[in-house]
Amino acid sequence: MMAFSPPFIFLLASAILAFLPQRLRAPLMLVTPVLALISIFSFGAGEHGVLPILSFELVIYRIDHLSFPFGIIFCIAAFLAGLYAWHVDDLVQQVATLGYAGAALGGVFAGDLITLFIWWEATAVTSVFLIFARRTPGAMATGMRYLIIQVLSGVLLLAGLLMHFHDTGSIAFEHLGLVSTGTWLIFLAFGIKCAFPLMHNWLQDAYPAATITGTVVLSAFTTKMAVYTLARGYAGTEMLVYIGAVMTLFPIFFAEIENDLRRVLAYSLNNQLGFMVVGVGIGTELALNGTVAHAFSHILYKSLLFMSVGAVMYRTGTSKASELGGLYRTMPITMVCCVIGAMAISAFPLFSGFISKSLILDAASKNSYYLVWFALVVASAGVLSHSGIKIPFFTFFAHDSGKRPAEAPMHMRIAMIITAFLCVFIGVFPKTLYSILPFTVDYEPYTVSHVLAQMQLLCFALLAFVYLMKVGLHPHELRRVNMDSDWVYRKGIPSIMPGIVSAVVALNQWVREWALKRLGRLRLTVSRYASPDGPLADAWGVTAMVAAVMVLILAILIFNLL
Amino acid sequence: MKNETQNESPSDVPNDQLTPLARAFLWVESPAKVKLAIWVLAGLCAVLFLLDFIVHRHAYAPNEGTPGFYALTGFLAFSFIVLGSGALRWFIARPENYYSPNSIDTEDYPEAGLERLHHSELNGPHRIGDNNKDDKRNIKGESKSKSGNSNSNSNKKRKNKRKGKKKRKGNHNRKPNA
Repeated sequence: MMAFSPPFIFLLASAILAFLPQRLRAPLMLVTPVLALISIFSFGAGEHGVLPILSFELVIYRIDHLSFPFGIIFCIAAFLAGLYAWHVDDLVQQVATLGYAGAALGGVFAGDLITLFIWWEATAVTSVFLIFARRTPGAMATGMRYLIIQVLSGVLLLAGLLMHFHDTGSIAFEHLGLVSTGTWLIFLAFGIKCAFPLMHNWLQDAYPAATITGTVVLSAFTTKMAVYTLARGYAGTEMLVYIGAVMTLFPIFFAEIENDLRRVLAYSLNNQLGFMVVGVGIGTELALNGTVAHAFSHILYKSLLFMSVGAVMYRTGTSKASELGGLYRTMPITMVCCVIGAMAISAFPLFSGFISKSLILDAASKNSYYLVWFALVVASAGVLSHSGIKIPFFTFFAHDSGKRPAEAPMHMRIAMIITAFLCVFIGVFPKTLYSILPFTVDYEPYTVSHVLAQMQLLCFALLAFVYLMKVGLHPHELRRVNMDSDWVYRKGIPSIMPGIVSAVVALNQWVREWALKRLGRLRLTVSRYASPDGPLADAWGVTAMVAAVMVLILAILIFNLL
Repeated sequence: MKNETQNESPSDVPNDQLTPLARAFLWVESPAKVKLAIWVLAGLCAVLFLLDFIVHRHAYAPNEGTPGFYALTGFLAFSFIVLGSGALRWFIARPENYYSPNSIDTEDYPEAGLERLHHSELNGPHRIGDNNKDDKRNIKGESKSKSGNSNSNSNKKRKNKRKGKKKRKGNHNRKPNA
């Protein structure tokens, strides 16, 4: 029963991979998600795969209204990524991809915290190999940083779950709430993987450092699994509304000035996660529907954007905006797919972002979070600036870089076209997505006021772009690296570490010397009295000896009498 | 490894060698057409703004119903973000090698994971070292097709497609990495 759950299907497939030649491996990467989808549909809702271990009852395979849509989109994302990576002959990446997708599915279908923890760590350990697979020194270092942070998240989860079990005696993965230290630790663990502010930089650090196909895979799973776990455990926690609002705002500024386009997309991912977290924080049925819908459409259009930038990188060797431009002539299909992804993420009507983001915004204003709602509206305009305009414009249009790369290979084109089609299909037929959301959807996205409002927002933002370009105020693409909060552990602490280490060494040295000096003085004092020519070593005369013995006997007699 | 073989002038891929999809976007290179597009955008914005006075927008948030709310928010928010990020860059921008050697910013992507095909080589035979100038038969504008000069490109593409498919596996030394 358990062996047919999606994570084990993926694990089994990844184990088989090593024994297959490449021409069978690539199709297996496509077949596995399909099998997993079949498993999800055939098992249906319920808690399957209950495993009693020691004194615990592990629920390996729980399909319910919340995990079902996540399971579906993870399988779709795994399929599309497998198609995109058809050309990859690297066994490390293929095993890592299947393992990672399986672990993410395992986490989403986990019914208890221990199973969640196991898959939580598994996602970290498998995904890091997509970064290591790049096989450059920089990627190795980045992968280590990524791994440390992800494992830290897992350790916090373990600590939290142990404390939670100690408090409540239950390991069930249901609504937890911020009630105890244990649940706070679990919240932090979820937050690290969900890229909360100040714990977010692993995302922008690691995702561009993966391989071309690796980043497409990475972008789909970890963060959305974290969104799912937050929705499961902390729905309605008000703090999340404000955390999410901050998350939607600050990455926009960083994304706008970033040169590496894949890092721009990583900041954009962070921004979109903010919308989902706000939805989780509001916690009403409409808001949670919005979160799940947004996660669903986000995986699709973010994969599409990573795929198109990846295709450009595949053909030109670079993903830096300062090195690209004018590629629409020779890569038109990639360009069109990128533009479709850009319009989807900007929430143009008729695209998937429009029908999902609006659920969250509506929930925010309906529940009187007006300031947060306004922040989300501002963030929506911001998304247009870096993802809607910067990515397609500076890659494919803008100044001519002189590069004339060939169009993306056929399998990449097919993957991008399918994803683009899905982005548009969901936008035009929102009921298809709404039907798999956790709660019934009582919302109609295509109302005149909503479409009009969104078109006004986007068109006037576009107008602002044109104006800023004309006036020359739009920042140019420069070859720069931007410091973010990861400066603390990448430059800050390492630069003071030698000082701290030498200070500690010196202190250690000083303490030892002081101790040895004191000991030396003590030794001198003792030897003054107790050395062979000291007073204590003098031989006593017989008379003195007898006198001493008499005094001793007298003393004993007196003590006994008293 | 630098991209030295792929920097050429725009005239290297003449318009008739572009796919129809690419040709549909050639208007971006003509300043007059771009100007027209901008005027169309401006007109669209004006229409949308005026629609605010005609159509009643259902508003839940305070002031959301005022005409021009979204227009103004869109324009100002976008400008604020772009200008603010420019200011932010003044503080946080550093040279590319700031985090080296522990970051990928200054590293080239390993060549084994790439397939740097020039536009003209998409359907042609692949060989190792085929970034040589000799292989770029289509670029200089001369038609070197063996079938003569008439619509050489489409013929060549059709011919090469058949050849290309067979030769695709020819790159034996490619390391398994992407």
